[in-house]
Amino acid sequence: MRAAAQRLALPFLVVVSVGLIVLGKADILLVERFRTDINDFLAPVFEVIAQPINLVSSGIRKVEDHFSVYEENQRLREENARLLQWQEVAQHLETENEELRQMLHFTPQGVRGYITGRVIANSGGAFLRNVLIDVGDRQGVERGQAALGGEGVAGRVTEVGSRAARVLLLTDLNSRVPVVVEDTRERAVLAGDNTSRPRLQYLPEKSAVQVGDHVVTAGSGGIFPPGLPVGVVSSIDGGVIRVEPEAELSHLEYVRIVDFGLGAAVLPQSVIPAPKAPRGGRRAVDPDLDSQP
Amino acid sequence: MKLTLLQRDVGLINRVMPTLTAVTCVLAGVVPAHLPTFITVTPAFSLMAIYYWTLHRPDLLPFAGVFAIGLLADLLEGAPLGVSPLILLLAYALVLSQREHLLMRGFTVIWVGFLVVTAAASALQWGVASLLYGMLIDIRAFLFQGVLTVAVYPVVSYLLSCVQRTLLARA
Repeated sequence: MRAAAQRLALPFLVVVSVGLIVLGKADILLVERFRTDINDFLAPVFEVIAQPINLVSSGIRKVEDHFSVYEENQRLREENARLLQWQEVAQHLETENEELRQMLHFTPQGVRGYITGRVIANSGGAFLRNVLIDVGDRQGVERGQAALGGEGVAGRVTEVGSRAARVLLLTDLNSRVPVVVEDTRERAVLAGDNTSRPRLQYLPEKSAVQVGDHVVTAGSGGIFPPGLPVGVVSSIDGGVIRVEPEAELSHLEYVRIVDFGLGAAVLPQSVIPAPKAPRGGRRAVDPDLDSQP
Repeated sequence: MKLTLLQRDVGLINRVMPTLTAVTCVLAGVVPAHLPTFITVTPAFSLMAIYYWTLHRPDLLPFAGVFAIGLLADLLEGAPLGVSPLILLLAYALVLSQREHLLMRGFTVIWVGFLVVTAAASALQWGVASLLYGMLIDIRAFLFQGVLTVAVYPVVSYLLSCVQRTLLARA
């Protein structure tokens, strides 16, 4: 009896696996709930595992820093000089902007809030590009929000648990972000294709895009706020235009989630509340959240 | 003679040890390790654990355990559910059928055997993923992960053999 059960176990479980793959295509809410629960449950485990690894990597970095102090100092001086110039430009523009806004009676867009999360797990699978971060809906993270890594967009939030959330990176096969080429103002979609440099798709036929052009979020589709830096056009090869992301996606340590009050746009229909019971007043931006580690 | 509590405990530890090490391998695969920038994929640690235990102690690794390990990997990686269980179960069945041939010869043959299993697993993963996404996915990441996995196997195999010697020897 036992032997027969053992013999049947393999074909049975293989069929279950295939069934799960097929079911998963249907995007069942229950499966997602299960995923977020597991992530929440394991988030503290990852925190503990990460401690010794962080210790070792920060030790290695310290040694490396010792050897490059001189060059680093030189680089920082130059950067500082450049940034001071930019500061002046920014101040000038801010004043000018303010004056122009007053002239036009312009109402500024909602204030952006940031929620900082540490990367606790990253998927190193051959066809998956996402990270798990240690903030969830307790901290105010919502599905669909943009995640910034360092200087640019890293991806968007796709799963949210109570204390962990998953960020789908720009390079993932499922990632599609509406963008604008800053220099030509042409709209396109940045599509991840499992390589380190995602592709620009749906550009106008006679596009004037050149290598080195900056790409920012378009803000269309209501997913991301407009104007967030995404990357730089790095190659144009026979119609395939690739963008080098600003954020260092393979080595994210922290991400900042941009709360712009647009999250509901990508929620599945089933979780959008009925019109009778609207989401009672959007959560105010809590300045304390910005200071999270 | 009745088993003492300690002996029973050791028996329990023995029974769950292969599954526990495989779970550790799954966790090791997703922990951010801050490796050099060119490494965007991590080796398939769970495949290594399944291969090792199927060869050396298949009696301690049930099909259901392999399935659960695969499921955990998919959940943690945000992968389509079912892909890893399918690959690990088929790898398990393949190794089980060739187990005696592999064990008779030395480590080099075992390593070559792992290369074959990894190649088959990567090809299957690529096929399933391409079907799921409805496109031919760039194969380089799969190749790179396969090479990395085979390269790292001796180290993981050594660590697992240490676990096997220290814990299972006491049974």
